[in-house]
Amino acid sequence: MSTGAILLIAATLNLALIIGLSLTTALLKARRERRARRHEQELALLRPVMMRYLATWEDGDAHDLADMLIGYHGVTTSFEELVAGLLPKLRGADRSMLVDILRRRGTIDQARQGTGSRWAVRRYRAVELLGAAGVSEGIPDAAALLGDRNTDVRLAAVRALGRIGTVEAAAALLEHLDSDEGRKHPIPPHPVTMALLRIGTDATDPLTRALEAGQVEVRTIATEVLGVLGVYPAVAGLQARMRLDPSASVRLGATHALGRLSMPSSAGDLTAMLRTEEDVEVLAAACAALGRIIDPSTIPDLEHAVAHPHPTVRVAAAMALVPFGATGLDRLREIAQRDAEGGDAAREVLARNSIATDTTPLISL
Amino acid sequence: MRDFLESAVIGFNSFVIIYFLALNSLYLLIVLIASRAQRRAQRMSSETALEDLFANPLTPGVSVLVPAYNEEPSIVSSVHSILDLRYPQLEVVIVDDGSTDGTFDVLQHEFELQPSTRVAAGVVETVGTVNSVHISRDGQIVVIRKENARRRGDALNVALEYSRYPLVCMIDADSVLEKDALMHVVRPFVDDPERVAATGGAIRPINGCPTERGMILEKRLPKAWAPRIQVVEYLRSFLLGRVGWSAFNGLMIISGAFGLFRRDLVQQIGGLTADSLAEDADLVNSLHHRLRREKQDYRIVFVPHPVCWTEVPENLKILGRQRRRWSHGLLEVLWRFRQMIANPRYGRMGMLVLPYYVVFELLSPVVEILGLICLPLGVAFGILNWKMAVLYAIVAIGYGILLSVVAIVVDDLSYKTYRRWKDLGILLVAAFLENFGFRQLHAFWRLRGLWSGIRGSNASWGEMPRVGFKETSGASG
Repeated sequence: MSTGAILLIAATLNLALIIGLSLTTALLKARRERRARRHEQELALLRPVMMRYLATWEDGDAHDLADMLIGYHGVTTSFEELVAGLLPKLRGADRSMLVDILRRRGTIDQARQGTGSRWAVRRYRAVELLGAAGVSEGIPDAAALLGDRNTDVRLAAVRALGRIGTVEAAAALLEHLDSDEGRKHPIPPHPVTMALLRIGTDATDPLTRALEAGQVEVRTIATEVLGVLGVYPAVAGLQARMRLDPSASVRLGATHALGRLSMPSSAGDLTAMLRTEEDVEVLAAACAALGRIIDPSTIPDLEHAVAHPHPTVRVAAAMALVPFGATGLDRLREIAQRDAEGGDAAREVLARNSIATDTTPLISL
Repeated sequence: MRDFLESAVIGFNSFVIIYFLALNSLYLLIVLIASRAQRRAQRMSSETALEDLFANPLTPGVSVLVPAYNEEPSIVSSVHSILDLRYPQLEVVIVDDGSTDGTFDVLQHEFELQPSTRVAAGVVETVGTVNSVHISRDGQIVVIRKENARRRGDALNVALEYSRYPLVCMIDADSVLEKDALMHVVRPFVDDPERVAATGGAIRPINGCPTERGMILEKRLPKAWAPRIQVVEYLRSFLLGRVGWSAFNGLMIISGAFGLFRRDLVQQIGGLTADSLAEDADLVNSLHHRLRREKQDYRIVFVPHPVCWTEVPENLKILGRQRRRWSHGLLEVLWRFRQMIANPRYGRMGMLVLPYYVVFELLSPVVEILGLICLPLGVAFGILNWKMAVLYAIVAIGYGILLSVVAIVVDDLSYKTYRRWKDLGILLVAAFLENFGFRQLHAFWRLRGLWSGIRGSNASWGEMPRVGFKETSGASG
């Protein structure tokens, strides 16, 4: 075949593909718009039925509506799709009634089966639905997916356990993280902390036990979450972690938590920390924690920390002096006169404070 | 002699055809990989994950770094769009890099800035002297006024020095981010904190979109053809191309208009290269270079969903200047990291990505311009049959159009950004028109950029005049 013939075929093929693709896109766009219109129409029919059901089920005369919802099958809309958007906004009995409809439609059982699917997308969607419904029978299925080979599925399982929100869910999550299986397929701390925060005070016992976990990540998560949840009985355990834990991230988490809890009994450990700790982040967190506790006996230690070689610590220590009021500000003004040893941090904090409180700058800038 | 010339011209034209077939086929492959990755990501997308990210008090804070040089028309809208972002903890660090217009005045007036002091981290070297620091009453906005060092990298380094949060987001002063944009780009960091070093978001031209207080009211195409063609370019290269490269951790560029980085890693590599013209690509390659050399398991991720809208040049003169700078910058970056090229120590970056950029990005204007010269010369001297020459041109151009059409199709199916039928039609026409004049002009600009890079001539950032966003109180017809 000659070069000309090859070029001619290539050019024709090109043209055909360009025209074909353009037409296909137009057809798909038209189809999508038609479906979107129909979807809206179906939702417009389904939504009022659901709302009427939620408004009348307590009167006991909503059986017809319930049957209608249980048997509903749309062309472009599924009942599940509508409910998935609604469930996070509902609480209490209304939510339970909708979950009951899901259960009677067989959706929950299907989702539980779906968590064993060989397709990652199906496992993902199944566990998301169990989480959205918040059904406790889904805990073992969601917990089993914590070791899934697909990262997105593992993360969806963590979120689902957080939304199911029971002590069993918290225990399953923390135990998995500290297990060999958990080490094989690690789960990042952030989604875990959010799941535990959603579970709330129900997670207190498993979290307190997790302070002694073998895995650094689990101990770190436990310290941070106990602080955010405000679990005061955990103070002694947190102080021990802050003093003794070999991992800087655990010490940091415990220091953050003690700052959040702001118990005066922590002041001694925190000032001792300022003298011995080497990690800059932990030192800055210890200063911030002392700024929340506001124990006057800690001022000299904070003043000393204002002269720390690292700017993060210097600024954190200077900021911690502000909540002490006039005494702290006087100390900062003295330090601000220095060229070195924290003068820069004191000047910054004084300037920020004067702007925030709308007062005349206390030092010349 | 004539036989030799004839063989040479035909041989070169065949080479040009094979080169463009290979270039476009590779790009087509990347676009198809991108569409597959996107489909998968869409099927496993989760609103609850974003809600959790927003609600979690332990979500890492983000410092948004905004270098600004003569950005008076758009800076206030940009800062408002950043402050309106849905993100739990953020600060905006703006560096007024010696602007000669009213950039600082409009900022001071709008946000009631007060002079302050702030301790710099003292980790990264900077060039331009800092004159003053100003903060807003709530402390969320920090403006640093400095001497102009004629380098965007230096302005970003100053912002880095004064930033406080563990993640730093670098954006252009004329960028407008979508409401959830930060949450989308932060998510890879919290989902894989050990490995993710940087993330970048998609960039799209904002020209033509009506905005209000830095928020886009309706996504529309620009009115003029030059920016419309750039929309197609951005779709092909900045969206689908990057999704494709990111799928196998080979992202070489995160656009300076919207990128998120771990602050500690940027500090460890000494910040941005202040005298680089492509400081964004330079930064990403510095990270690749360091992390690969240290044999670390890391990821640099492109997140296609969050969109950063940015003003693109409407005027060919300014567009030409921008493209010359990009080409010059690419040469600088490839030269700086030349020891990585074809070096197995740097894995797929060394063996695949950088060689691709040398052969198919850096050298393509040379091949294209030589092809454009050779084809008509061959016809004029009777070496090439005109019918053959036309067929050569049709195949080369047709494949380019096909690639753009595929990108438009994938974008329409995946992202559905532009809803109007008219916009789809305009994009398809722009994909066609791009190949008649614009593409050749673009090759010429890139060749000039390459030449200025080879000569080592000076170029600087910050000379793109802004017209500002089309502020309106409501979208109209």
